[in-house]
This record gives sequence, C-alpha cells and structure tokens, in this order.
Amino acid sequence: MSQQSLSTSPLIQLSKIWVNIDERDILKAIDFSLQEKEIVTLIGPNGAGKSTLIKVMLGIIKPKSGEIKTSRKLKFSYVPQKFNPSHSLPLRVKDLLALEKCPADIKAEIIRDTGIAKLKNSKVQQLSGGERQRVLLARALLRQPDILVLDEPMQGLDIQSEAELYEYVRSLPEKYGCAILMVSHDLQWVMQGTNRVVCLNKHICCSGLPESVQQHPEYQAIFGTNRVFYQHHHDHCAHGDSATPCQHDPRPHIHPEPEA
Amino acid sequence: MMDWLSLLLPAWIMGTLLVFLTAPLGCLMLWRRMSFFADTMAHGTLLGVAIAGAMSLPLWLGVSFIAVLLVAVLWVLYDPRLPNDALLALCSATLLCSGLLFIQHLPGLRPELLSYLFGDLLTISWSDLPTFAIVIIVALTVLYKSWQAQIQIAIDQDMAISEGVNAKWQRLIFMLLLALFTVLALRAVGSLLMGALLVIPALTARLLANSPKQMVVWAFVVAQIGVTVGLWSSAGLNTSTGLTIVLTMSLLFAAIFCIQKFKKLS
Repeated sequence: MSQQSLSTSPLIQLSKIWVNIDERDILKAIDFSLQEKEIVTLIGPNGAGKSTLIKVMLGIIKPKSGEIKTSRKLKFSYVPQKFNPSHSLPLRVKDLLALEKCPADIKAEIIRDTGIAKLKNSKVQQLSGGERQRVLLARALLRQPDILVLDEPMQGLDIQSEAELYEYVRSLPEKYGCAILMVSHDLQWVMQGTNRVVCLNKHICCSGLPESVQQHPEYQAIFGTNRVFYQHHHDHCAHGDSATPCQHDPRPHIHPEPEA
Repeated sequence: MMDWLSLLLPAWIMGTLLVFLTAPLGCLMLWRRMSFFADTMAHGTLLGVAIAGAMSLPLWLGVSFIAVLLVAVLWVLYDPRLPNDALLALCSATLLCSGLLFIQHLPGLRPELLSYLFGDLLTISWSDLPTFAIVIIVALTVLYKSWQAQIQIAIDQDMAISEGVNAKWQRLIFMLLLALFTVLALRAVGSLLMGALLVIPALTARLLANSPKQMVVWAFVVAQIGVTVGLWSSAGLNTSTGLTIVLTMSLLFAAIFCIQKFKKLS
C-alpha cells in the first residue's frame, strides 16, 4: 500500500532544535517528527516549551540551532491558544471563513460538523470561549491542511462539547487526510485519542504509545504515579466511552452550546 | 465662475484620486495599530522638504528619502524595553523640530512654510495629474496584491505566519505604501494634516461597517465627502482647503458618532 511507504518518511522532521529566549534555554536538543495522518499529543508541565515547540514547527519562532526538514511543501493550519483580534477590525465569522478557499461541499460539511452554522453573522470578537474554539477549528480545516496544529483547543468548552470535540478531532485524519499535533493538559484525551504521546519538559522526556509513556519514570515524576488511567476500549458503536449517542447523525460532530 | 472652476477642478480631481489610496490604507493602519507610525512619517516629510530645498533636488525625492530613512531607523530601533508608540512619538517630534528649524534657515523655503505644514491643494495644476494618477494606480495594485496577507496579519500575526504569510515583508510593503502616500499628500494637505486624512475616514467607517470590505467602502465615501464638500466650501468661505477638508471629515465623524449614541439611548 502506498500509505505504508509514505509513513516511512515523516511529513516533517525536527532535529536538534535549541531555542533560547533572553538567555534562557526554552527548548534543548529536541528531535521530533510527525508522520502522515498521525495524531500526536504534546504534554508537559507549564513552561515546558510546548507552545514554543509548536511555534518553531510553524515557523513563527526561529530556533537558535537545529534543522527542520519537510517531505514536501506543507500546508499548516494553526489554532492558537490565544486569539484576540483588534476590535478596530470589523469581522464576522463568515468574513473570517471567506478568507480560505475551499470547495463548497466540504465547506458546508465542516460548518455543519463543527456546529457553527448559527454563528455566521456573529462578530468574531464577541464569541464565547467554546464558540471561538469551534470557529477557529472550522477555519483551520477549511484550509485543508497537511498538518493541523491545535494549542490547547479545549479551553472554554463544557464537558459534553469537550468529548464531542475529541471524537471529532480523532475522525479528522481519516476524513481529511491531515496529521494532527495537539497540546493538551487532558490526560484522558492523551490516553484514548492519540497515536503517540510526547512528554516535554524543555527536552523530550519520553515519547511513544500512551500506554508505554505512562510507565516512564520521568513522566511519573511530572504527572505522578497514582492517577487512574482510562483504558480506551474501541466500542464506538455503543458510544459508551464518549459523547452521548446522537440520533440525527452518526458521524462525529460537535453540538453548539444550548442557547441562554 | 469659469476661473473658479479651472482653479478648483484639478485640485478636486487630485483629492478624489488620493482618496482611492487613503481609504484602504487608513483602514489597514487602524487594524494594524499603526496610526502613530503614519503620523510620524507625515511629520518627517517636512525635513524631507527642507533637505530637498537645501540641495535643490525635487521635493518628492527628499520626502521619499526621509520616509525610507524612517523605516530603516525604526527597524533598527526595535527594543522590547521601549514601547513602539513612545518611540514613534520621539521620532515624530525630532523630525518635526529638525524640519522646522531647517526651513526657518532656508530663505527660499520660509515663505512656503505654511503650505508645507497644512498643504495647498489649489497649487495643483492639470499637468500634475497624469503622473499622480499613475502612481496611485501602481500603489493600489501593490495594495490589492497584498490585501489578503495584510488582513490575515491584522487578524492574528502568528496564525498568518504559520500559514505562509511573510509578515516582515508585508510590514515593509505597508510602510513603503505609507511613505508613498506622504509624498503624494504633501501638497494636498501638508505635513501636519495628512495623518488626519487617513485616520478620520477610517474611524468614521468603523462606526458603520460590519466587515473589512464594508469598512473600506465607508472610509472611501466619508473621505470623498470630506474632500468634495471641504474643497468647494473652502472656496466659498475663503478658508484654507486642507483645514476645511479635515474639519468636514471631523464633523462627519462627530455627527455619526452622536447619532449612534443617541439611537442607543432612545
């Protein structure tokens, strides 16, 4: 299969990345790669350099040294942790979405699945935390990226939509063919949603399958040993593990918050 | 009556053409929080005039030189300890003072000082217009090409960079377009008022617009009314054209602002 030959050479490979801001080492000798259609989660304590590593990969921060190799010209989409456009810019959700060129049917599907149809005329600056995350995710997907980067996308979401968002994000590599790199504090997501976990604390402490990472001593030093980890059993049909079953549409999608 | 018309018509056409550039540029300036920069650059034109006068070069050359110099200086001056708006205030004052001092000691330019400060649209003649129109078209083409990238940066710089926008390059393009504007606007509204030509229509448009495109259109409308009403009424009232144009725009802003507040209250 062609997929397997693709997965041998990574989409993007970072080697020996050092980042140094105000004479402090933020990242030390980072080696990191991302395969086609892979879901990787970055975890680590506050100040571990998770956002910095993302920004290096996206070309926002230039590393002091190190090398970034890509297999081809890649298209990135980025959902940042903070998003506060100036109020002097009049911008509705539909204006934001219109900046990305995307076939109409895919656009309609993304808008439906992220549950933002009703927000089209809302001002971007006035969205609630959860609404903003969904709009930004939709915008990122409209670009049809090779790599989707999500920096703590669960901010401001309630538990129900959080579960739905996980489920939806998990379906994206198959549906749109993108790889996903995500920063998350949520260990539950790490255990059930990712192919690979990278634990970062200025250097890479450990990385690998979720089950093996939690056995690692450095991981346990950061996150503790006595957490009860959730074991994911792939019973998607029963929906027993995540979002409550949905009658109208079997595909993963997110519901808008109930209106106040 | 015919004399009036032949005097005012080139001036009016020039003002009208200028507005095609000021409307989108002013909006971008507001979105990117660069109005201090525009003001600084405008004040720098005075020194440009002085240098050109002293070396008997064409005015536009001196003004362009200062504009490019300022872009370079600001590039070098970048220091996270010094807030950008304060640095611009520093540059602005320095440029204005040195420009004024210089001109006071140039006997050839001294009588013209007021027109450099506040502009004199009525000195525009028909022969100026073709060059002017070509420059505006070139500037608009450049602006049109980089418009999407500029908007992306205004929305979120990091997001734009990660998605392939060269933010530094776009910033340079924007600064150079502003520089070009100052060269064009010097004769029309002068060093002190050209910032107003960018900022007042954009601010007024912000009150009325729901999308970036709408805002540019409204800024265009407001500036066009300002130029037209200001120019023709200045002839009738025998007042300075630059001042009248700016005040007309201010009045428009005040009127729309008050109407909106009043509507909200009732």
